[in-house]
Amino acid sequence: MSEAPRPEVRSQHPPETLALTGSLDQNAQTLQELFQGDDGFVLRPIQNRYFEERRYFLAYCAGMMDQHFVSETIIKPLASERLERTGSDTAGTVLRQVLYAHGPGKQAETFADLVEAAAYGDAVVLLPDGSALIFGAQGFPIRGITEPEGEKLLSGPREGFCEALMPNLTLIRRRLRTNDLKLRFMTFGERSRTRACVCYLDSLVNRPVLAELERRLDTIFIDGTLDSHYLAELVSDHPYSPFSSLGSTERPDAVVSKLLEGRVAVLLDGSPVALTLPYLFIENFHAGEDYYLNYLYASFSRMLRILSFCAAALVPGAYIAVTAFHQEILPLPLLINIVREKQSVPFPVGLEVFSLLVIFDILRETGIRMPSGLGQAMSVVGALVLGQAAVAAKLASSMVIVVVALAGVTSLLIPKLSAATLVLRYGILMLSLLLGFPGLMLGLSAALAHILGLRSFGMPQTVLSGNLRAQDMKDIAVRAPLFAMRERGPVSPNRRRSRNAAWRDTK
Amino acid sequence: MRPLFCLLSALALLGGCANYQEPGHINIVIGLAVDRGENGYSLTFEAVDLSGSPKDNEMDSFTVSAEGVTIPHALEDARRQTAYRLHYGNLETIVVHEDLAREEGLSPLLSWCVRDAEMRETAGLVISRAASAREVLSAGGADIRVSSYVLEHTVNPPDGRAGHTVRVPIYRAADMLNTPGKALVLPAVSVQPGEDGDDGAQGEGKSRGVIRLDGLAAFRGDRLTGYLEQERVPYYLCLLRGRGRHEFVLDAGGRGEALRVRDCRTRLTLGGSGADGLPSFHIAVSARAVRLSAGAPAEREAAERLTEELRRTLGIIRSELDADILALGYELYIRDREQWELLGDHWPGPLSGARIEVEGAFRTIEN
Repeated sequence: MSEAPRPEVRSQHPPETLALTGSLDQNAQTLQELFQGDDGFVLRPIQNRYFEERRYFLAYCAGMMDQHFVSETIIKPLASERLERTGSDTAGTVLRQVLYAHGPGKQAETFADLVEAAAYGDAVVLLPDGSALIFGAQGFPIRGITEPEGEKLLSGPREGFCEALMPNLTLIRRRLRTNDLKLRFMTFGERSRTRACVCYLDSLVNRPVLAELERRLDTIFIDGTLDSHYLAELVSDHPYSPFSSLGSTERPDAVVSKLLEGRVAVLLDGSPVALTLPYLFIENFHAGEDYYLNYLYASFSRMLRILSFCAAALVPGAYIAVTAFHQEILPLPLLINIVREKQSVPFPVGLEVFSLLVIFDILRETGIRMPSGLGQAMSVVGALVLGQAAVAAKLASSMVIVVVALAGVTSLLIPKLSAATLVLRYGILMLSLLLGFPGLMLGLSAALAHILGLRSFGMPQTVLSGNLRAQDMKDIAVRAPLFAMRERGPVSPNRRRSRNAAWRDTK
Repeated sequence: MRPLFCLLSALALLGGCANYQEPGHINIVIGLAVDRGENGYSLTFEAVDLSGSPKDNEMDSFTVSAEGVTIPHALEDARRQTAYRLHYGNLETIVVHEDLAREEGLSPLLSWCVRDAEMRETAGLVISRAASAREVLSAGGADIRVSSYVLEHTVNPPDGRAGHTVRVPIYRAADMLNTPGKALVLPAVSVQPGEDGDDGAQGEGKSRGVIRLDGLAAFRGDRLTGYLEQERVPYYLCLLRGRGRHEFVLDAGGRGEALRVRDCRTRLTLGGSGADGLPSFHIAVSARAVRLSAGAPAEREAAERLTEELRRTLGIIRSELDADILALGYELYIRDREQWELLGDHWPGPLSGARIEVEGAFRTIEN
């Protein structure tokens, strides 16, 4: 038996202007047509056992809602309510009283509301008077609150965001018990209809930045936003730059600390990553636990990260510039070792470094994609066995292994700049191969010029280029003790004293 | 895109940096001996022998000899003899034979050293008093095989010992030649024949000679005029203006009782000119010393002894060298330009008639 031809699927989201009609059956038919071709959509008629004229339709998507909640809170009251109409009450009014008594709901105005609600696990009830009610009945599974894998701390809160928006907002609000916290919900994606939330503290927020963010968000047109990085790319000041214009974190404590500095956070349903803005370049070198550990240790760690970024970007290029162009600056014993080893390696130094860097990146990528235990084993195999084997087989000199390992390991220390490190490393490598140290300096100068020109929602990312204030310097390359950082950072226009330890001043 | 292309092209073409060379394709030259050849210059390069295993810490060397009418011609000749390029960027020492320095001067050599982009201007200059400069590069030390290393370590000991000679890099030699009132002074070395049958640290086929410091070579202009013998060098260094660490043993009294001088502070004062129009100088040397034996002389006695040695050294410099290696003319040039204008053209001739007083003082810092 041949299958009946399927009617044309109306995949387009209904327009906002498609309003509900006054007829229950017509509304049900329209809704059914909107979901035509979706076997997961259920439109279930419910008949009240006591009043024949009281018919309803319950609409939902299978697997998305809490079946028990719907059964007890919606179906049971609708099927068995016995309230009589009194005076001018309509049937809809009576039913709303019944349903609201069991659970919170809201009135729908258009079919767009109904479709979005049903698709997100809400229960839609079409009433006999042509109106419709939506009940939050989501029952789909979500991941629990766990520590983010990429932002583990030695000391500090272990909570991390999950993929659901409301629990994430709960994690933020739990840390900010104030009406100053403002949440603005928006929807993105013509088809995904993903909800997002813009959070800020009303008294601290940088208004121009907030206005610029809203202006950019309003202009987004996209089919679907599956992760907050979609938004990040769409609203970025420098979409072609390897440096980010927005910060990202999976830690609610980090988001709250940004909000307290006058920044804005954007959370997206379906993504555990919160975006923060404006973003300063130096934040690339900050870690969440900098504020939970001793300030000396934190400052040292920050400087190590800055040094690591420089090493990761420059060391391969500098090695080529020195060994292939400017051998005279090497100490003689080191030069002798390098030349002696190179005489037995058949490849030019540029190809040697380039190919080993690529191999290292392959190993790194493999280590990330593999299960954790196996990934570590891959790293060991790559670093020790492969490196040793390459030297023994005279495919590479041991000095190049050291250089590539140094560049690779230092780049792991600054994951926020992984893309920038990659671009800079290979770019400067190529320039060094062409021109030696002038090439390296050319690449470095271009990178610095680009970094100094970076902006984040109208604010320069390197704010030091403006008026230099001592307070602004206390959370950059070093982290001053908390009591010494008396003012908020340079982002918030509200620069009044934010921290204090009065007993120190009165001693 | 076009500006970037222009910038890259300019860097490549004008920066002189398109000198890519594979590190595995070079011979690292660490020493250069310059002799007079039959038709001009005879150069001997000492390069590191890289044929050994990388795990072998022992460093050995080989030499390449070349001749040419000029230094660039000789370099061309050397390039034809080696498969890999000769790399001068890590040159440590240049040995010049005394005949060449005396008769042709150092200017052509220094000019090449300064103009050559690859040459390291921190390489030290040494004068060979042996039969040839090449002989120095064929000799060695008691503990190191590579002659240039031996030379460099002899002139500039890695353990910080001082007071035996001066180290003059290329850039300073060029500067001294062009500074009014200064005379070039270079360390001189000779080769002492080794004992028969004793191969020492040298490899087979090498001379068993050992490199030794052999005084200081004094120059007038770029020509060698004479030598200050090695036993006078510590006192010469004490006579130089300024403060320096000069370690030497002062034999005070001839009874085997001695003091070890640790450092000297020398003050040079320019006096007025006398009736003959010549300037007068006063050199005050204040030395600090360690008493090496219980019977070592007292400070006053040691000061007299030091003064006597300093005066004797000064006498030799004035009478035998015909070169202002104390840079007294430079002192005059700086402090009394009018008098220098009168005397400068004849300098260091007037130095032999100038009044120079030397006074030594002593302080024992340890017993």
